[in-house]
Amino acid sequence: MASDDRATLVAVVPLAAAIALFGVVFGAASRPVFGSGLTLVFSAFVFSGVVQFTVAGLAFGGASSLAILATAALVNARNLALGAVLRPHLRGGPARRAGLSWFLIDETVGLALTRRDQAARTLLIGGVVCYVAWFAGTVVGVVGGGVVPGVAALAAAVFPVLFVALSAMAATSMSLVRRSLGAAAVTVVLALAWPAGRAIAPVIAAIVVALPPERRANSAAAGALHTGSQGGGP
Amino acid sequence: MTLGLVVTLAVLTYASRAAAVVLLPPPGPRLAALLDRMPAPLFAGLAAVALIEDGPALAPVTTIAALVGALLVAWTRSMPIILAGGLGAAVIATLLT
Repeated sequence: MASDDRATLVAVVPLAAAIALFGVVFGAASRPVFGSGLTLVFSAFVFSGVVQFTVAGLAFGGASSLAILATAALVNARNLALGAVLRPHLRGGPARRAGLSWFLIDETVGLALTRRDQAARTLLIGGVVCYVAWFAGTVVGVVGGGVVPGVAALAAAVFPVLFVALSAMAATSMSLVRRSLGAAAVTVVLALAWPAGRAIAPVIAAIVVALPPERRANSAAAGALHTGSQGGGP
Repeated sequence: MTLGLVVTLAVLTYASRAAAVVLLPPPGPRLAALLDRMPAPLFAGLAAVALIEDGPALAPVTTIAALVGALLVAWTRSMPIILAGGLGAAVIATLLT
């Protein structure tokens, strides 16, 4: 195994562990609503925590199929933004990209963007590990849902920490740090003002804070820094 | 909830993933620059949205403590350190409450 692949596997372990925890919670929470078989099929074919939890909540509340599909479409809209951000770093033809896009989830996109020169391979390795973790977690949740109360609290705390880490790793300049803080603030305001759009709020906030172009001084400084790092010496 | 609805949801979800990745041409310089500025704010937003729960209501103390712990060490830009900071703070909050 190449050392780059080993590094990807090491990096994906905490993400997969968190995803597995959420899988356990989903499996245990959904079994009474959908039954064991449909819960497992759901995780196997959809592979999206945010969609699955949202649908389970709606189904539990007796929502119609049309309402479920409309809500899922809204929740999935953020995949368009994630895909657009990742697209410039994915080489290869449409068929290859179509295969890779199965693994496009928040966590794997974040990981792939930390290794932009190997984004496709990172997405593939990270995606396979996260998919297995999600499905295995669902199985554990369906079979032994009794452990769920403690797991749910831990899982709820782990995900924001993972996203803070991914944001910190992607924020390679002070400008991006400022934009990230701005996006966090805009997201909270949007989520409070528009609870139904909570899933899409981070995407809207990210677009809003990313729109203003870099100031010329920042760009020049970044360019100088980049040139310096390419030089490889003090 | 039926198998047909699950399959439809699967198709809808996959289509949303594949749409931009497969159909978008490589972006021009201005769009590429915009997309390059999006990941860090996007993940910051995904972290921040965990502060708000259905209701809307503020997240449990454990989640808030985890976020604060992670933010305190975010300057290290290290996944293991940020995870340790966040989960350590969550454990402390759990013990104190």
